[in-house]
Amino acid sequence: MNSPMAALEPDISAGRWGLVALQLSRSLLLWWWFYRLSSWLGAVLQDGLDQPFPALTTVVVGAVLFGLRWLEARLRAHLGQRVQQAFYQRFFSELSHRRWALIRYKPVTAWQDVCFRHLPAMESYLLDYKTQQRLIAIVPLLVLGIVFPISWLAGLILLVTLPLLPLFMWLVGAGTASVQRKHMQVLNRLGGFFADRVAGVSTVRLLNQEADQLQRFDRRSRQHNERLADVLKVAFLSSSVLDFFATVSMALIAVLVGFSLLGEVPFGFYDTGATLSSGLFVLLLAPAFFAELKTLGRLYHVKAEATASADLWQHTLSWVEPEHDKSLVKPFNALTIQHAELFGFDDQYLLQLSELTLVAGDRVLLSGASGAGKTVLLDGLAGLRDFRHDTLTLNGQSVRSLSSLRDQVFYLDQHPPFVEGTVRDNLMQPHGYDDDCRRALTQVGLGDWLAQLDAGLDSVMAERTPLSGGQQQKFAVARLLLFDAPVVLLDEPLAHLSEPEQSDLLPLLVQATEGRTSVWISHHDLPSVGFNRHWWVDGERVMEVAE
Amino acid sequence: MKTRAALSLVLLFTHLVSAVALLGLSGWFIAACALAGQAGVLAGFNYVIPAAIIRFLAIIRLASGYFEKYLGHLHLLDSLRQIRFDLLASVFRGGLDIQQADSARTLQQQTEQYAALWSAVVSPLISLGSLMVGLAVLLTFLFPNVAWVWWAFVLIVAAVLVGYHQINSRWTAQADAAQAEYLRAQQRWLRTSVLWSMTDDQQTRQDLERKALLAGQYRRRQLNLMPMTEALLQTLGLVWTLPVLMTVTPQGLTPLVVVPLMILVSVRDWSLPGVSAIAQSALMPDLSQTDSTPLTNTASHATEVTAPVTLTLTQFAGERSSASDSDGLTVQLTGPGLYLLTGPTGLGKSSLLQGLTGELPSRGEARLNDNDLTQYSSEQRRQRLHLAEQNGHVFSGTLRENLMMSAPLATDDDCCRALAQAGLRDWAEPDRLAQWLGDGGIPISGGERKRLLLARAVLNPAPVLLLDEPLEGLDRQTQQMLMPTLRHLAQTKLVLIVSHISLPDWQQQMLATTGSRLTMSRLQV
Repeated sequence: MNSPMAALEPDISAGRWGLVALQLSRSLLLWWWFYRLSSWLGAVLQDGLDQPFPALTTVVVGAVLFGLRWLEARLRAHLGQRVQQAFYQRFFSELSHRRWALIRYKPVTAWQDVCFRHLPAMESYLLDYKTQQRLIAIVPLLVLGIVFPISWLAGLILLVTLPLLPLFMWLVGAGTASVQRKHMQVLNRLGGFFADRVAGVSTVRLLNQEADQLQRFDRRSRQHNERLADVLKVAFLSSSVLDFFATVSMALIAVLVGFSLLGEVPFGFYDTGATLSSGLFVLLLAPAFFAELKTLGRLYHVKAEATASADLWQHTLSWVEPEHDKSLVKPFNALTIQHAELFGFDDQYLLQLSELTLVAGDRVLLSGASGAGKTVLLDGLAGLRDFRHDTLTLNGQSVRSLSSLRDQVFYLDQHPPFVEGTVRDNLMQPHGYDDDCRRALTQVGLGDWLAQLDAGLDSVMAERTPLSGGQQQKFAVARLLLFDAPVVLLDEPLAHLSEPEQSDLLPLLVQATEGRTSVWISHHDLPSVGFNRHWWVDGERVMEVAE
Repeated sequence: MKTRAALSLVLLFTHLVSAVALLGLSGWFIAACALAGQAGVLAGFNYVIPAAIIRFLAIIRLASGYFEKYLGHLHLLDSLRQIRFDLLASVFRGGLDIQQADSARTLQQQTEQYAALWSAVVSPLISLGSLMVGLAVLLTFLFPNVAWVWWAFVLIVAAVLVGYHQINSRWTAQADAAQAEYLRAQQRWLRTSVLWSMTDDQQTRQDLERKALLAGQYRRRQLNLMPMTEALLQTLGLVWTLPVLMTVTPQGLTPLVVVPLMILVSVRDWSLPGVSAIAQSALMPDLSQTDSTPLTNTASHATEVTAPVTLTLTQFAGERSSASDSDGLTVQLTGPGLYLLTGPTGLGKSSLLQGLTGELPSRGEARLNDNDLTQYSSEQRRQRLHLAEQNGHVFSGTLRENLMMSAPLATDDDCCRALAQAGLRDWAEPDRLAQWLGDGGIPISGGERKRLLLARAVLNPAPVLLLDEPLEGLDRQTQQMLMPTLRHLAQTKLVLIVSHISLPDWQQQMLATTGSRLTMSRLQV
């Protein structure tokens, strides 16, 4: 399986070199100007020449630098958009294929995070971090290449820090890793306590524990903060290492160049000796040597976030181009499964199916001990999960997956969704089918309810509808009646309803599934349905039970 | 805490100033050495002291950097504690409406951001401001005729930063709005996945993609502002060397002139903390509206209310915005005893219980032994009526903690007994009591959670127990097993159950009903 970032790379790898090129040209231009400035200063201060300051050059350089940065910003935005587009293409198509099976698999927060935390992290990693990585390889070498011909001593100072810097950062990082981990642990625990008590506020209030919990929070926070104070003493050493090397090198170079100029240090500048311009030029260039590393340091957390994000979604969203099932979609007639296995979205083994047969018009009771196996099987029948199988025969033809069933299936579970829209919108019907809508609603016993609405089918319904649980299920049955699905999958549609509501709804369900193929998950026997097959889920196996 | 904050500000300022001073002094030193060396006369030029100051400045920079981070972080932790304490108090008092786990998590993240207000925003900006003013003063002193050039530069930089702040805030708000819009649309789309086969949702998908790309565009535009501002400042710094040099007379061309040049040329480096501070300020949530007056709970229990109790409801209903217009329940329940409230789902059974405890506003009247419930404080009310919610919270803590929240004086034996009575015999051991539950702990099933809530109810000393769907999520065997516990409780307390499940051996005696088919019955104990 492709990693998400590997899948997104090809789109932007060429553009990324563009970003590198633009940044390099900015740096080179700036250094060139430094050279002009220090030459001028040398000429004017040291040699006493009366040279005009390169004013026009300065203004032009300033403008071009700004322009180059603007170009870089534009390119970055363009590449970011490409990444986003590539991502969303796969994201939406994957969701279209896996539907509620996949959506249910992750919490709501994960779906919020994927677009606005995980994707930006990956984008930033691909475009900012990796660009920076390339720059780090190039810029220090360029600086050394420019500095060495001027002053081998300054060059040497810089060269020595080159391997020392990552070495020290690694050493300190490794040494303080456990400290950092502990730090994060404590912070997470405190944050978790806070969030937990906020989320459970109604229970806290009902138990009259407000003051007690506040006290606990305060005490625990203070204790932890005190303990952290010692831990923190070493936590910042790693970030100080870069600062240390940069500052010390700067100071060292300044002092050595100065002493060279004074003649106190008779080496470091070859035979020509040090001059004001060469000295100043080297001084101006030295920070550039460390600048890229500083930027990478700021971007370091991006790498961690991006890899974590990619890992999180690696298996769940497959990053392979989905294959389009080109076979003609015929209405469902018969299905045979022989020795298949269902796996979860993170590749965990879920269910094993021995011989299962389904014929048009069947009513199948799917029961078994509590667990997710039954729901997973329904997802598989809806074409939302992949089977690894020996033989899968659909309508007499051998197929690789049941994805062609996806649009022939109606799924009914305990909580049918409602949207903000009219009654007609909620029945998923366009204008012009009002008679059908009314007939369906009357058939399920919602005729009176419709009649007492102000605007009839145009009345607005909300997401949190005031309909009772039983009424909501009836509405779902009305949807079923209006939709020509040959296969109906029911996931305990009665479980949460009161008994009168259940006895009200059951005959409607039986009627609506007449002539269709239906698979019902239920804990109870439901003799009034007239099941002709019984599938039993026992732990991780599904098998047909002979009645 | 205040001294720590002030100290970290001073350290940050020192850190910034030492960097600029190091640069300026190094430049001057090189120029001065060049001239002195050329003259061949070293006398009169004390080069040791500047060299020493350079090294000293380097040490100051490193030390101030390290200690600023250390102290700054300590201050941040303390600030975080205070903010969370105040917020928690507000939430407990009922001032903030946060009921879902994800908004709690958002609040947690927001407090982390807000705690950094001083160290990430205020302190760097004050430091930068002081630096610029200080430099202006210094250069005025050194170059009286260049002074106006420098003050003009300071003003322009300030103007750029203010402009950045304004535009950034506006674009951040736009990006946030576009993002929220997309998230709403995505959430709606994901919720209705079972309906996708019924419609051609190509339109919706295209609309979603459009919204997503728009949100991304806005966000990228806003993120690009910071580097563009930096680039602008750098260009300004470069260009400003012109007025500096043009106003310097030929006699004024001394090594000192290198100082302002070095400072101007490196404007990007020393203004960066200020620019990041402004960027951070746009992300800063506003958590200042909290009230930190202390909360107290009295330790007393409702000792004066002993069995028998009478709960009298007159047209009582819990008030919920989406509730249908029911006429309320009128009934008198005498305890001890076991009562059952049934009816269609979603029509106010839970709301009625929540209305009794005061968690929800209510209509009608409710009296406990002739005392109107509204005359009690919330705390007293909840001492008299214990509610086990339908989705009660399992706290991130040990099993013991979770149970003792209901009865702070319970011993381990009491806890084990309650667990056994609630059908959690496996958990009724001292080492199980120390197990961590809830967020970050051992996951428990829905049925186990229900039984934990029942165990809390068993431990609670209140004379009236309200149980919202205690049998939900349990298999028939377990449900039958819990009946003796409920019957036992009903011998000393008034127990009111809301349940859409009924067991076959129940004998219900109907007492009252409402227009929306809510029915109150007595169960034979």
